[in-house]
Amino acid sequence: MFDVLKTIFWAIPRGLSVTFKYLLSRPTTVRYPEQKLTLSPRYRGLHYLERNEDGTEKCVCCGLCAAFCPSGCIYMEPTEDEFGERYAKVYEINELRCIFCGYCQEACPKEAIFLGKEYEFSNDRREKLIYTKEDLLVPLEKAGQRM
Amino acid sequence: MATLTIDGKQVTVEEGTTILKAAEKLEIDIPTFCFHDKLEAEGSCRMCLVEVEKMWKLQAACATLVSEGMVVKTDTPQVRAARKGVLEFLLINHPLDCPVCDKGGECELQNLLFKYGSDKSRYVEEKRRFIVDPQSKYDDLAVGPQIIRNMNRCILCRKCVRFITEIAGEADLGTFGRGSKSEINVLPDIPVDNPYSGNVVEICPVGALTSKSFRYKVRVWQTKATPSICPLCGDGCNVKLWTKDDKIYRVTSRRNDFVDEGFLCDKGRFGFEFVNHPHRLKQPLIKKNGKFLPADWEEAIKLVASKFKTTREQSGADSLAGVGSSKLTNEENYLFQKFFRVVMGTNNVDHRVNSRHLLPSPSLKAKNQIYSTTNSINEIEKAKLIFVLGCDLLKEHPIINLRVMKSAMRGNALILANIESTRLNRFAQDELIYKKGSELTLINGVAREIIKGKLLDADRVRLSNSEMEKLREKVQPFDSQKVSQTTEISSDKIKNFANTITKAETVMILCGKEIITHPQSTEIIDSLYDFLRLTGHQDKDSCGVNLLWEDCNSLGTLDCGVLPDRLPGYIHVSDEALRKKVEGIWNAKIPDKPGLDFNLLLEAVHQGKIKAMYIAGADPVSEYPEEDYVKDALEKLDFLMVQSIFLTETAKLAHVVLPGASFAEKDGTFTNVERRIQKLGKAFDPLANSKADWYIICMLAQSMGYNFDFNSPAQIFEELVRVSPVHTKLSWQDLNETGK
Ligand code: SF4
Ligand code: SF4
Ligand code: SF4
Ligand code: SF4
Repeated sequence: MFDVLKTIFWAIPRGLSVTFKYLLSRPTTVRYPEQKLTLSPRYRGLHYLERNEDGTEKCVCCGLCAAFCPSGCIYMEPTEDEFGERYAKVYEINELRCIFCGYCQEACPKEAIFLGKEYEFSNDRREKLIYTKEDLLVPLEKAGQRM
Repeated sequence: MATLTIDGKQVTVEEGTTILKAAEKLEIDIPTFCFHDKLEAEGSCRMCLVEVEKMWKLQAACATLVSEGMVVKTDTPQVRAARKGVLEFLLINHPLDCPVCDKGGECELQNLLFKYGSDKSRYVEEKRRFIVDPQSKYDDLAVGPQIIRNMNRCILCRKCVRFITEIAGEADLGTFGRGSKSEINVLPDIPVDNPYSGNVVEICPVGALTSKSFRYKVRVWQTKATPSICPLCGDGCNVKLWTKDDKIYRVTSRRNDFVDEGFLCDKGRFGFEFVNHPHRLKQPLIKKNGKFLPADWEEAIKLVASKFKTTREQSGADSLAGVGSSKLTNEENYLFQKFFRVVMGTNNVDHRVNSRHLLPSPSLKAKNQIYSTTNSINEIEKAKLIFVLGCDLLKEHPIINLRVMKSAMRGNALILANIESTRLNRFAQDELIYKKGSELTLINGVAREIIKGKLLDADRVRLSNSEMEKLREKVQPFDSQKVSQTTEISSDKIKNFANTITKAETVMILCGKEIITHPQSTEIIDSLYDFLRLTGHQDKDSCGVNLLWEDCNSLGTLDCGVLPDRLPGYIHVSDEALRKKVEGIWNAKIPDKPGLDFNLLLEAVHQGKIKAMYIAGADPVSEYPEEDYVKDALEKLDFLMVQSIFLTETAKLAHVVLPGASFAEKDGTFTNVERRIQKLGKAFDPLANSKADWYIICMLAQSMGYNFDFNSPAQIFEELVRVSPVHTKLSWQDLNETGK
């Protein structure tokens, strides 16, 4: 008997008070996509490949990022240019499998790969989410400046 | 013998052993850079410093000999500090190149640094560079067709230079300059292109020497190494195949001290491209109206089986013939001849397609005498005189060539007799260039010289009186004038040779292709044996006549009975008792009449007696001396089936072509020149829609109504062991590592 009374007069109003409190306070939902949150400086989004100041690619296709990647989503094929310098002929990241852990960035000895702030890259085609080197490289005009 | 203590453990080793070797025996690891087992110790890298009690300085373990009661410590603070110091010195000028360096992942500098070095550098000055092209950031220089040098990474262990001079016997790589300006380089216009050059890439502990074919293709940790055997010559070097996703990226040595001592020739090291060649056959082909159309396996096998069956019914079993190949494995060859003898019911199988002159099939008793080597490869170094007859060792047997060179460099005599001068002559005491075909005259001439010139030591002659008389008679007509006329060698030279060979302590004779394919090969070999008996070089260690077969499995194919008159292990088909035994194991009847050898086969085809042929692995159109003759014959056949990995000239004439698998795609064994049976390793599945050759034979048998119940080459091998007297006492397990 006591239990029933306690529920009715104590537990229910107490629960509802929380409901009413939120009903009356300002909503925390952000009206995405019109509104966007500011990201934490450590946010890890879509990868990009950095360039040197002279516009050449920083990545030498050493394979360390792929070796570290826990989800095995980086694929590359090295080759050499006319000076015998090593660079990536093919460099692909399967963003569908990536868990955005950032290990690739940490492993890279050339500071070539970074996880950026971009997170809006959904697509209706799976194969489009396998990003190629061309997709990942920063545009030439942004060469040398950290994004 | 000396007993010493290393890290508290006692070990007894022979006098004259180094501390490093003694530690190896205890499995104590002492790091080194400049040490190589097969090269003279140099002691220049100082990485192997250890503490020896009662010596006030640290000692280099690779160069310090052990002595009785020595107490060595390999892991004291002093030693560790020394290692750290050595590594720091090495890194002063070493670039931070690991991301681009091909050696990354298997680099000894990386590994040892990780283990013993410091992770901080105190060096802030500019690093030394050997600039090759001011335009380029990297200082790579092609020093040979296959080799690229990056001097910045070199730690000057000089292993490469020592290999080139001590083992390869060349001088195309050297050290130039002094001190920190020392440089490994070539002379202008003299590239490193000797036939063993690829070894320096493997020997170099860092990425200073890299190979063009492997460079920047893949990282080593992404590849898988499969132990296997080189398929490109009869020496049977042990290799590792480095593969990733069904592609071979490189071949390196897998040291086997019985065979290759850890070296490979460039042919074997860089000649693997055929495996992933785009022209590899991808599916069965059936010729319709003169054009090959792709077919599926079921259809192709059905067609072949029905053709063979109808031919057998209409024209008898002996209208069918099979040609095996010395490039297929033992298991496949065994199965192939069994297929013909059991399923087809004929002895018409052979594999000797590259010569018009065939050595007679060896008999069971003489198998070791005529058809193979008497001596092992390791014995080569021990012979006091090596006589090479009719063999361009460098081309035919590069690794045996290395052994012969080693022997000559150690002061043993070497005499060459060839139709042309060979590169080995730098090491030869004498070189006899004879006119092609005059080998027999030469040998008999020398024998006569020995008898007539009374050079003989009566105690050493191993011939009975009657044999001696016979020999005397045989060589009588070969007087020196006639001999020097026929052979075009001056009689002085022949006299000299006769002299040297009788005086020598031990004589080993190596014969090559020129002798094997010679019209008088049997006579030559017999004469050589007489010759050794005459000079007393019979039945002694490292004495004997050795026939060096050319292909990776020439000897194995013979041993497995791909011969018209011999079953596996050289059992003659008419040998009732032994044949019955084989019949018991095979549970089938074997025809007792010898079949036709390849030459007779061709004749029979021309006469219309052979109607259908099955060629597995061989390419007689390219290999047989008379191309048109073979072509005409094969075109005459009612039905020709070829099993091959490429659309060879022979395959083009076929009605059905079945795609086989290369050595990298199947298990099996090869028998090398010294009759060592060694295992291949399957690195990946047969490419595209091809199948292992043994599997194809099983499928065919199945489709013709016989059950070849084998699931793997191991099972086939176990049956071969039961059948063949040559292979007895072997088992598949025993063949791991070094082979048997
Ligand atoms: S973020 Fe992590 S999962 Fe994604 S590519 Fe890099 S290492 Fe791989
Ligand atoms: S991104 Fe960095 S770690 Fe990955 S291959 Fe390129 S250089 Fe190496
Ligand atoms: S190139 Fe390699 S093997 Fe030759 S000296 Fe330098 S580090 Fe040693
Ligand atoms: S010597 Fe012969 S077996 Fe050895 S690597 Fe060269 S080709 Fe291959």
